[in-house]
Amino acid sequence: MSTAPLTLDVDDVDEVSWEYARRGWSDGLPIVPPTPERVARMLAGVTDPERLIAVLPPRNGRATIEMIAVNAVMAGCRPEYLRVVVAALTALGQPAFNLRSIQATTHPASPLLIVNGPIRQELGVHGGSGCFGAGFLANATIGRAVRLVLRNVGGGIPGSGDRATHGHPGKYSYCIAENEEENPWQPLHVDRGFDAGANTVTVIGCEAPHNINNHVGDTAEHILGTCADGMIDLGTNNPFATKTTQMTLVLCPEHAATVAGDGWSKDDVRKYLYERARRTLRELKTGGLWNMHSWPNWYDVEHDDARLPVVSDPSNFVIVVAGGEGKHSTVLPTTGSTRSVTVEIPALL
Amino acid sequence: MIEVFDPRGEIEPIVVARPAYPADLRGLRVGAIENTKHNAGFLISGIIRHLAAEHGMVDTGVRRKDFSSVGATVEMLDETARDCDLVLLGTAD
Repeated sequence: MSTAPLTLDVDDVDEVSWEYARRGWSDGLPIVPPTPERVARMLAGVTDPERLIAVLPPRNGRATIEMIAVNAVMAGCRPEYLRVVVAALTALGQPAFNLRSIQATTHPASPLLIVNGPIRQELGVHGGSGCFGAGFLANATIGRAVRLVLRNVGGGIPGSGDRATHGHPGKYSYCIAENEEENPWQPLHVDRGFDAGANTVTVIGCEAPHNINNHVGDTAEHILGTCADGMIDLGTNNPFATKTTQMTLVLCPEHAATVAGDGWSKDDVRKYLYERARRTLRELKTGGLWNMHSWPNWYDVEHDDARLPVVSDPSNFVIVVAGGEGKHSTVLPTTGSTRSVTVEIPALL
Repeated sequence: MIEVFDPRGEIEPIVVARPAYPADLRGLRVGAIENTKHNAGFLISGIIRHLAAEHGMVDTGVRRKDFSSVGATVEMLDETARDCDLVLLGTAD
């Protein structure tokens, strides 16, 4: 390590957690003390621990691999998870993601991590039943490590660098795998130009999942109609920030099977949502961001009956398949100022 | 006693050159980049009017970002730098 450890005058591990919380260095849950021995174990095999991965706003903290490792230890990560955490922070550092807005906004957004490729099984990143919830070591600790880095290195501290009015539970941890095995189409990372055998992580700055319950639909149109309806909530940012953002739909395997069973491709899904997920100008005038909107110049803002789409073109729908049995899909609105980014997870650091 | 690491790491320094303050505001050009938030826009517009009326500054108008939490475009920044001696920014609501 390039920095020296500090000495805490405490008697046991519990007190380390309490002391870190007192100093504002934790998320409030117990941490694994980042001792020199544990951090060295996390960094085993890393060729350049001082390599800078990203400079994180609003604190402008330097997220080096070794500092990421300190936080990964605290989060409870196994050492083999570190390269996923590093890849996620690489993605978060890309300008298109606009991390400053996600870190500092009053809006309840946090980066969701979606892992694709064989590494899902290798590390046990879960994309099946209950994947957004608790109970999965890799999901919980990889997501938590990213959050701790954003807090400690990036300064995303509630009420200070993070001005979220409420935030959301994904600010503890927000990480899933895509359920590629039950995806009837090509997976997300292949949509993004990667080989099917590549390992990737995609970051999406979004709200907590909004449930789409459809237990009766047996056609693509019925299921996607309810999904589209969930995308045009007048209290969300997306309908008003069409020029600058995307919309993510996480289909459950059963819904995806029904849609694909009707012969619909992912592009068909996007085109349908583009036509269906719309509000009239009259309705949008009653929304929470009226006159703060960012719309493409070609939008018809003269006629109250004009139906304006929730994204500027169909390619801005991000389609993912995840979850287990059941007929619940989920929509993930954003701040309106961020775009998802996918990067390859390196084999070695 | 236990040895542990501080998880915050170092800060990347940002160096911002601050121009010398003018002795007189009269004749200088004032403008704004408004961030779409109503109250910030209200405040900024009022300050510009005050600077023009009371201090003789030239009002070059208010430019508007695409959305509150995206940065101004390079084109907007270049135009603003070219046309203004003083620029007000709105960030809060």
